[in-house]
Amino acid sequence: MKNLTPLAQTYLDRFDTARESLPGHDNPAVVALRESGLARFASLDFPGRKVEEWRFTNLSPLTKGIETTEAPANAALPAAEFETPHIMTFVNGHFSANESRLDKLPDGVKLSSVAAELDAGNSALLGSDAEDKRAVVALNTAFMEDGFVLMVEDGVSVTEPILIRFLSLLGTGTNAHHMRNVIRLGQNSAITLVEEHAGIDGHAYFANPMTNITLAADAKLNHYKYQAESNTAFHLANTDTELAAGAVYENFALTTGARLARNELESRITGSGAVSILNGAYLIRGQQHADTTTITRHLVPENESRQVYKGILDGEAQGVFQGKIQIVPDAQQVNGDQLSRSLLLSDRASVSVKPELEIHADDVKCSHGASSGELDEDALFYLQSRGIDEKSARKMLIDAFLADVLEEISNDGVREYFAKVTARWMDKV
Amino acid sequence: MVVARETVEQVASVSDKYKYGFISDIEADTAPIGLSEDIVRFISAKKEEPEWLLEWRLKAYRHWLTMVEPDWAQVHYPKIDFQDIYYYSAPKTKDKPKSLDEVDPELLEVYKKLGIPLKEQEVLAGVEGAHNVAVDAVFDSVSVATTFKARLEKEGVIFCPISEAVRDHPELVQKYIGSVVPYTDNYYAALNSAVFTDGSFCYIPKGVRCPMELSTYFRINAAQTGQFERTLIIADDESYVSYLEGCTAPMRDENQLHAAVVELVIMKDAEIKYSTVQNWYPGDENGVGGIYNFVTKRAACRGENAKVSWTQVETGSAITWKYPSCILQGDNSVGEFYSIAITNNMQQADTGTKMIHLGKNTSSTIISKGISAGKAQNTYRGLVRMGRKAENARNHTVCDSLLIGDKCGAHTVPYIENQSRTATIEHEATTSKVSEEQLFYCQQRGLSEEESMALIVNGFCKEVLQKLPMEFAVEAQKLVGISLEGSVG
Repeated sequence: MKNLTPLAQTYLDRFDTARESLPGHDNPAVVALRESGLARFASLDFPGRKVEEWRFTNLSPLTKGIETTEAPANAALPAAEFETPHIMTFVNGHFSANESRLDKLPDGVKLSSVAAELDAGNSALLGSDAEDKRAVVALNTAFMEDGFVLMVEDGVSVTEPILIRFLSLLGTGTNAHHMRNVIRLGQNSAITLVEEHAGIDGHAYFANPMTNITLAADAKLNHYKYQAESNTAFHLANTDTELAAGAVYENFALTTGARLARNELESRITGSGAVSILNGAYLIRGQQHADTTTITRHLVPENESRQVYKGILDGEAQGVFQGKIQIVPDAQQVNGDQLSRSLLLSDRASVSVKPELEIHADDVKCSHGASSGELDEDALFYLQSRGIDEKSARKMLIDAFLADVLEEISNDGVREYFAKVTARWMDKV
Repeated sequence: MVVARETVEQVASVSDKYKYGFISDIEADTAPIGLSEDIVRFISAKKEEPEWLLEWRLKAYRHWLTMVEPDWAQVHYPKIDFQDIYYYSAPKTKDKPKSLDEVDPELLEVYKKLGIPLKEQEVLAGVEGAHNVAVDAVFDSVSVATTFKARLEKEGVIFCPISEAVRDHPELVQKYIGSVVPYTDNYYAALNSAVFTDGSFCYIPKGVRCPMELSTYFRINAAQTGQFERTLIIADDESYVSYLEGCTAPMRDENQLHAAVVELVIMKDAEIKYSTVQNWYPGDENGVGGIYNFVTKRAACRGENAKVSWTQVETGSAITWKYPSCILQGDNSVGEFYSIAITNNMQQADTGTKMIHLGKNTSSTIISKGISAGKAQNTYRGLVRMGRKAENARNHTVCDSLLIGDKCGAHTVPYIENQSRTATIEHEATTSKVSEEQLFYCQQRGLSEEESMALIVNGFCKEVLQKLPMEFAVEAQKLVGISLEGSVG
C-alpha cells in the first residue's frame, strides 16, 4: 500500500476510537455510510499537486498535520453582525441551541441539526456519495459530526434571510470540524440563506464543510457565504447543487479568512429554464491562499449559467480560480458565461487562473474572460489630477473594482453587509 | 464579390478529398523494425555522426525509457506500440545528387504531386525577388533536396539538412541543439532526440535579412514508419527569416507516428516568422488510419527586442498534440501565436501555446480559431505565465471556437499564472455555431450550402490567414474548404 500523508494516517488511526462518539453510531445505515466514506478516503488520500484539479493549491501545510493550539483564556463569542430573526449557530462543530433563534420560522420550513437526524437514523437524507472522487468529501462522510438540515415545503417562501453561523473557538480539544449540511427546497419555494464561518485569529483548525442542495422545479435559493475563518485555519468547502426545471440558484461567496481556503462549487442543471449564478469576491493578504473552483454542468437543453469572480490580493497572497463549464451532447440552447478578474496590490502576490470550457453541443453560446493586473495608472493619475490624494484615489478604484461584483447580490441587506465587511478589509490596505 | 468567387473556385477546384494520399514506389533503405540502443546506434552510424551526438542520442533514449506516455491531453487513441515502428527509412540514392537532374525521377514526380514548385521557382524568381522560396524536402526521415543554396550562401545564410549541418557546422549544432527543448522535456521530445533522422537547419548571421522565404516539406511515405525530424533555426542579432513548413502523407489504414521537435533561437533585435500548414493524412470518415502528430515546438527569445511569430493552420492528422511555445527571456521581446485548427469526422486536436514571460516589457498575443465538425474534438490548451521579474509584461488572448454539427466538441483549457503586479493579462474565449442567417444569406445569393460554409469559415479564420505568407495563404484557404467537406447537409 502506498504511503499516506501524515494527516490521512492520523484520521485512519483515529476512526475506531472516534466512531463511538459520532452521531448515529448505533444506526447500521449511518455506520455503513461512514465506513464506505473512510474506505474511499483511504484509497484517495489528500490530493497532491500532481492531481490536475489541485495543481495550484498545495495542501501539504495541512496534510503534514496541524499543530494543536493551547487553550488560553476563553475568548468571547463574536456577536452576529448581520441582523435577522432566524439564526442557527454551531460552535466548534456542534449545534448550540443557546446561540440559536429558530422559533420565528414559518410553517413549512424545518431547520434541524444533522446530529439529531443521524441519531434518529435519518441517514437517507444525506443521499449517496459512493461514486464521489473527492477525498475531503469522503473524509467528511466518515467523520461528519453535525451541520444543518433545511427542508422547505412546496410553495413556501421566507422573506427574512436565515443566518447560519459556524464558529471555531479555542480550547475544546478537537481541531477539525467536518460539517455536513443538507438543503432541500420544494417546488416554487424561495429562501435566502447566509452562511458565516468565523474563528479567532491564531487558532489553527481544519474546517471541512460539505453542503448538498436540491432545488425542485421553480425553487429559488439565494445562498450567501462569508468565510472569515482564523488566519491560521484551513477551510476546504464543497457545495453541490442540483437544479430542476425553472429553479434559480444564486450563490455569492465572500472570502477574507483562512490561511488556506478552497471553495468548491458544483452546479448540476437537470431541467430546462434553470439558472445557476455563481459569484464571489476574495480579499486576501499576508500568506493567505484562496482557491475558488467551480464546475457547472449543463445536462439538459435550454438553461443558463453565469459567473463573476473578483479577487484583490495584497502581501504574498496567492489566489486561484478554476472554473469549468461543461455542456453535454444534445444540451442545446444553453448560455454559459464566466468572468474572473484579479487585482494585484503587491509585488509578491500572485494569481493562477484556469477557466475551462468543455462543449459537446453546437447550438450554444458560451464565453469566458479572465484578466489580471494592477490598478490602472491612467485612472489613478486622472483622479490625482482632480485633487484627490493617492491613497483615496486607490481606494476609490478598488471600491469600483469590487462594486461591480457586489452589485450582483440581489438581497439588499446582504449586499450592504458584505460592502461593510470589504470596506473594513480595505481600510487595512 | 471577389472573395466569394475565389472561394467558389477553390472549392470547385478540389474534387478529391485528400489529394496527397498517393503512395510512391521508391526504394528505401530501412532499419529493422523496433527500437533499442542498437537502432539508435544504427541511425547514428548511418548518418556518420560524431561521437558527441551519439552520446546525446543514447542519453535521450535512456531517459525516454524512464518516462511514461502523457495522458493529460483531451485525445483518445489506442496505445502506441513503439516496437512496431520503423525508425529509419531513407529513399535509396547511389550518390548525393549534385543537381535536381540527378535526382530520382520518381522523387521529382512526388514533388510535382505535392505541388512543390522546385523548378518553377527559378521562373518565379524573375517575377518578384521577395517571394522566392528556398525549399528543403524531407522524405520519410531524410532530407532529399535543398534548393537555392548558392544564393543563400552568398548572404551567409546556412540552410541545409540538419545531418549536413552536423558534418559542416558541428560547433553551431552542438551549441544549440537541445538548448531550447532538452531531451528531458517530454516523452515525445525524448523519443525524437534519440531517433531523429533529419530535418532542416538554418542559421541567419548577424544583421542579415534572409533574401527569400525558407521552406521545408515533410512527407511520410513508407508504411509503418515513424517520422522524427528535428528542425533548428538560429537567428543571430538583428537578423530576420520567414520559414514555412508543409506536411503531407499517403492514405493508409494504419496509424503512423510523427514526433518532431522544432527549436528556434532568436537573439537581440532578431525576428523569426514560422508558418506551418499541417495537412498530414487525417484518416477516413470512420477514423481509420491517419497520422498521430505529437510535436514539440518552442522558441527562445534570448536577446532584447527579439520577436517570434508562430502561425499554424492545422487541418490534417488523426490526432494533433502540439503547443508551439515562446520563452520571452530578453527584455521587450515579443511572442505571437496565430492558429487555425480544423477538425472534421473523427479527428482530434489538442493544441495551443505557452507564453512564458521572463523579461521586462515582454508582450505576447494569442489568436486561436478552432473549428470542429463531424464527430471531431477540438481543444485549445494554453499557458500564459508572468514571472516575478516580468515587469509591465502584457498578454492578450482570444480563443474562438466554431461548432458545425451537433456531434462534435470544442473545448478551451487556458492556464493563466501571474506573479507580476505590473503585468496585464487579458483572456477571452467564445464558442458558438455558424448562424442560420449567415448561411441563408449566402445561399440566397446563389452559393450552395457547402460553399457558404467555406466562405463563412474563411471569414472566421481571416485574422489568422492574413498572417500567413502569400504562397501559403492561398493553399491554406483551399484547405479550410476541403477539410470541411461533407460537414454540412
